[in-house]
Amino acid sequence: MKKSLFTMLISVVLAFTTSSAAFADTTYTNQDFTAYTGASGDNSPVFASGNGAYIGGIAVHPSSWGSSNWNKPIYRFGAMIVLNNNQRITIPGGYSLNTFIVEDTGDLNNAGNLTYRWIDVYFGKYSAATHQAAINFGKKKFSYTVIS
Amino acid sequence: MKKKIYTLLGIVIIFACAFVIQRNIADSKAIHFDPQQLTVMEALHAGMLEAQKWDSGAVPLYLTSVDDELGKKSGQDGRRRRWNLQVSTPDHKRAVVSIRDGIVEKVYPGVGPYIPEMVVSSEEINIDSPQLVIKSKQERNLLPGIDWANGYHFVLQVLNGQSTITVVGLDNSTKLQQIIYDSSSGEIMN
Repeated sequence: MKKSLFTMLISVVLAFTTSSAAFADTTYTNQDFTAYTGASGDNSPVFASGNGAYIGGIAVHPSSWGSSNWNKPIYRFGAMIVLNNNQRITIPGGYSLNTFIVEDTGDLNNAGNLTYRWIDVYFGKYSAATHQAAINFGKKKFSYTVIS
Repeated sequence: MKKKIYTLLGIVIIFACAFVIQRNIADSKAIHFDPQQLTVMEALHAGMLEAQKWDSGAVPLYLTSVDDELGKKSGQDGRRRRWNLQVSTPDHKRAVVSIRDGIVEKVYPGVGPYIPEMVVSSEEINIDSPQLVIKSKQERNLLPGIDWANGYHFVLQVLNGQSTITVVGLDNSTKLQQIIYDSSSGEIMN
């Protein structure tokens, strides 16, 4: 009797505590960030999403490695990203930015030795200045929250 | 004494089970008869109300539906449960507003340049996602996404100086397809 009551009690507790967290916002710490520009000579660069490239768009790894997965990013369609702890990235033009929209994919074959949750920040159309700004940005570490 | 304790424990367990069953029934009803799925216009309205509480100068930059667990069913009628809105202010602040099941879940404050050319004008939105998804099915045979970008998605943004609503789905060869509409006239732009 005692044993069966105990089993029932455990079942009830489990039923109360089991809930889906699959779509909760998620924070990732200490991830690589790099910067990129449109290709040289391309006056209308386009993201993998099909949208024309704009400041605030970012690229991420594909959900599985391979160049054929260029249109399958690791984050859900519509995901946005905010840097944690009020950290900011300075973009060409001198403005600070810390809210982003997932629009593009990159490093499709995992050749860059980057963290899995790497973020590539779009710095604008190609010019000597934006190209140099992306090089100067180099590789930095940030923590961020994915809103999806 | 022991008998009384067991009886009491039994009653507690029965009430707990009844509560769990009732909760599960309510959840399943929410999926099948969810009145809280929003159109583009409704999501914009809900998100901007909260954004302007955060900052009265907030203006919309980008509104998008977000993948959910409903698979191909999501967005069939131009409505979705999950939306993200990015807003901007003239003093270079930004925020992401998450809208879930018809209500604003959270405002994530941030910073970013104010770019007037990217600001969506509410006055230029004369057509909504329920009409556009019908048009996309009829005129372009747009099919719902299956896995990533599930169902039909909707994005409100400015493209080439024009407020647009993009409907996202699949073409006949299951490749991602976007149909961009002028949000003022409803004309297809691509």
